[in-house]
Amino acid sequence: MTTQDQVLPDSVKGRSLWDDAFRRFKANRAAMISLIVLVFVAAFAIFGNYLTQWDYETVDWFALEDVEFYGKPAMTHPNEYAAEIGTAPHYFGTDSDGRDLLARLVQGSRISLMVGLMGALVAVVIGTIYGAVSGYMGGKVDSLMMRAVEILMSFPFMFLVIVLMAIFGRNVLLIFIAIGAVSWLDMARIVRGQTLSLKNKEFVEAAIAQGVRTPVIIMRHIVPNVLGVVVVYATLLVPQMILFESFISFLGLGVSEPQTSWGALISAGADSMRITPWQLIFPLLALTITLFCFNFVGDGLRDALDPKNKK
Amino acid sequence: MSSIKKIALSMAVAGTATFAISAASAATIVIGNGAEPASIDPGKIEGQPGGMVAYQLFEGLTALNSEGEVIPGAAESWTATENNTVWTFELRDGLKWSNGEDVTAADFEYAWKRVVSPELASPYSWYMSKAAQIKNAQEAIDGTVEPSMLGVTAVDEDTLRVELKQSVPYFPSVAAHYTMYPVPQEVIEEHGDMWTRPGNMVSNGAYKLDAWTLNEKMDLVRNTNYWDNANVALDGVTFLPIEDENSELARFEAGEIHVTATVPNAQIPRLKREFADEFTIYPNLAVYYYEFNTEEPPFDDRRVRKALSLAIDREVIVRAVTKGGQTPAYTFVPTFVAGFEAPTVAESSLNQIERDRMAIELLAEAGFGKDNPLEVDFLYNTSEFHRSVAVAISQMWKQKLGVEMNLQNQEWKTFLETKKAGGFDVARAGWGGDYNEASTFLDLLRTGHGNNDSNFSNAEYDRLLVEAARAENANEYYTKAEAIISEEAPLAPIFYYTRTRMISENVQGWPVGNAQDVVYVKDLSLQ
Repeated sequence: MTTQDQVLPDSVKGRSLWDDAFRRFKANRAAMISLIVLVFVAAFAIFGNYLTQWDYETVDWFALEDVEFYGKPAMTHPNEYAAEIGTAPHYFGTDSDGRDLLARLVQGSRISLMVGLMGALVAVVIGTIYGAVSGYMGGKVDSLMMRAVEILMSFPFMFLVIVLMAIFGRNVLLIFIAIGAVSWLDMARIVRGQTLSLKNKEFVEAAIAQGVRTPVIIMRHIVPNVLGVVVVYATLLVPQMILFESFISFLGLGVSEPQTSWGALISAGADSMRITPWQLIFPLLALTITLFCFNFVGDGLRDALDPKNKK
Repeated sequence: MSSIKKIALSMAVAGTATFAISAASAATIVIGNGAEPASIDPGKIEGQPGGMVAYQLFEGLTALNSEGEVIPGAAESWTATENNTVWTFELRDGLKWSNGEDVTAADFEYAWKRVVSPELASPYSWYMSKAAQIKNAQEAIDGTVEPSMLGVTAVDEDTLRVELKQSVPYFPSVAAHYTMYPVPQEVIEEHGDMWTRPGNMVSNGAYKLDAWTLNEKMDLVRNTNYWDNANVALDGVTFLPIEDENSELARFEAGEIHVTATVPNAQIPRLKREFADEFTIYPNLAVYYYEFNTEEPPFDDRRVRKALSLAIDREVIVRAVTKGGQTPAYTFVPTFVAGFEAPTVAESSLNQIERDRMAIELLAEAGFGKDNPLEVDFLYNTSEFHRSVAVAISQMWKQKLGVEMNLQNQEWKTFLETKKAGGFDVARAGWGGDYNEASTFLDLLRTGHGNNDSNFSNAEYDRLLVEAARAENANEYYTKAEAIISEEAPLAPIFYYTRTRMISENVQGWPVGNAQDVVYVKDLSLQ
C-alpha cells in the first residue's frame, strides 16, 4: 500500500469532499462577501470600544440636558460649552439617557453575538450527539429519546423563560441556558434523520463486522458524516438565536441595565424614533446586516456541502 | 305639488338627522383613561382609572372644586360637634338615583358599612379606619364586630350622623373620596356582583353607565334624574382604556380623543413646541421617592442613607430626565399640601456642590468610599420612565460616591411582593395623597403601616403623629415629623409628580388646580 502511494503522481491525488466544498464556497460571491462583513462585525464587537472615549454606562450630563439636540450623532460635541472643555463627541449620538450609543452598540453586539454563538454551539454539541445516538440505536431507545424531545418541544418556550427569570432573577447566563435548552431540539431531529439513512451504509456494516464498539461507531463514522448538514443548520441557527434574544429583550425580560443588547437597543430606539431616529437606525443596521450575512453564509455552505452539486 | 312636498319633507328629515349626529358628537367628551378599571363599584375601586369613572357616575357627601377645596356635594351643609368627633350632614332635597328612586342618608350608611364588611374585602377599607377614623371601622374590618356597628347612622331620610374615634378636623375633605360614595342597596342585592354591568347599574351622579365594551370603551350618558342636571353641559362621556401612551397620543393628534390620560415622556419637548396650547402640566398630590431597607446593613446606618439622598441632584433629574415640569422634592410631604409648612432641611438649604461634599463625608464616616465601594441592589417596577430615573441616579451615585449599583426590574405584582418581603436595598416608590392633608403621607412611615416597606420605626415619630391627630393645629407636629424623616432618611424624596395631559382646545373648565386630579365632567364644556 505504502509503495503504491509513493508512485502515484500528484495530479491524480483525489479531492476530498471538504476540498470540493471549500472551492464551491469560494466561488459563491454573496457568501464570501458576507463572511468578510461578519469578520468586521466580530471585530467591531471585540475592539469597537477603542473607537470612542466613552464607556457604555457613563451618562454624558451635557447630552442628557436635551438629547434631541445635544445627543445627535456628530464629530464634535453639539453642546458648545461641552466641546470647549473637551468633552468627547458621540459619533453615533447618545441614547435617551445620555449614554454613548457607539459604546452601547459595541456592548450590545457582544451580548447578542455571544447569545447567537452560544446557542448554536449548544445546539451542535448536544443536538448532534443526541440525534446520532437516538438514530443509531433505534428501537425502544430511539422512541424514548424522541418522545422526550417532543415533550420539550411542546413546552411553551416563553413561559419557560419567564419562569426561569422569576425564580433566579435577571441574569445573562440564564438567557444562555434558556436558549441553549431549546435550540438543540430541532438539531437532534435533523441529525437523527440523517443517521437513519447512514446506519445501513456499507462502511457502517464494515465497522460492525470488525467488532468496533457502538460509541466509537457513532463518534467516528456517523457524526463526521452528518457534520455537513449540522454546519449549515448551525449558521442558520445563529441569526435565529440573536432574533430570539432580541425578542426576549424587547419584552423586557432580557439583559438588565446598564448592560444592553441589540434587541434592548432597538426596543428603546423604537419608542422615540420620531424625535431621535439615530437611536433606532444604528442598532437596527447592525442587527439586519448580521442577520443577512449569516443567512448568506448558511446558504453558501448548504450549496457547497451538497454532494449532489458537482459543479 | 305632492312631489315638491315629498322632496321638502325628505330634506327636512335628512337635515334633522345630520344635525342630531353632529349635536350628539359635539356634546360627548372622549377621555383617555390609561387603563381598564378593575372595578367601577365604589367599594372596590383602587387606582386612578376606576376613580375617574366613579367621579362621573356617583356623587359623595362633599366634592372638590377646581382648586381642590371642599364644596357641598350631595350634602347641603354639615356641622361638627364634640371636638370634631361627631359630624352631621344634611342632604339636599330631591336627590334621585338614576332609576328615579330617592337618595337617602340610609344609602350612605349602607355603602359605608358595606366597605368595612369582610365579605366585600374592599381594597380601600383601610380608608374608613385610617383616613376617616370612623368608630369601629378597624374592628369591623378585622371581623371583631359586625359591620352594622360602624359609627354611621341615618338619623332620618336627609340626615347622616358620623361618629369618629378621634378628632378629624378635615373630615369633609376625606368624605369626598370615591370609597365614601353611596351605593343603591336594592340594586346590589338584586344583581350581586353584576350590578355594575350596563343595564343593571344605578348611580346618583351627573352621568349613568350606558355601554361598556371591555378593553375598548365605556360610554356614560346624562342622568336626567341628577339634581343639578340643568347645569350639566355635556351629554355624555366616553372613556378609552388605552395603555400605550404613544398610540394614545397618535389618536389625540388624529382628533379622536379630547383629553389623554398622560403623554410619553420622550415626546414632551416636541409637544411643548408643537402643541403649546394643548400640552398641559399641573401639580399632582404625589411624591416619587427611593426607599431604603432600614433593616438591611449597611442601610441601617442613617449616614449611608442620608449620603445617598444628598448625592441625588434632583434639579438635573426633573430638568433633563423626567422633563414633565416636576418639582424637585426635598421633603416627603409635598410643599403645596394644604396647611403644611415644610421644615428647613439640609437638602433644600444647601446647593448641590455642598450637598455632594456632605454626602462624601457621611459615607466616609460610615466606612465607604471609592476604594471601598458601597454595593446597592436597586429594585424598580418595569417601566421606561423608572428605568431612566434609575440610570441617571445610579450614575450620580457612582460618579460622586463610587457606589456600585445593580439595577433590577420586576413586573408590578412581583415587585410589590419582593418589597414586602424586604428583598432590596433601595427601591423605587411613589405615593399619592388620598386627601389634601399631610397625614396621608406621613402615616406611611408609622411603625407597622402596611405600606411601610422600608420598615422604618421611630418612637418619637409615632408619638408626634398620635399627638397631631389630637391637636388643634396638627401642622406643627407634621413639620416636626418631617424633620425626623429628613434626619433619619428612611427614604429619599426625589420629585413631586405632575400630571401631563393633552387637552384639546375645545375643552373648557378642566380643573388644573386640583392636585388630586379629581375631575367632574359635569363642570366641563366643549366649544
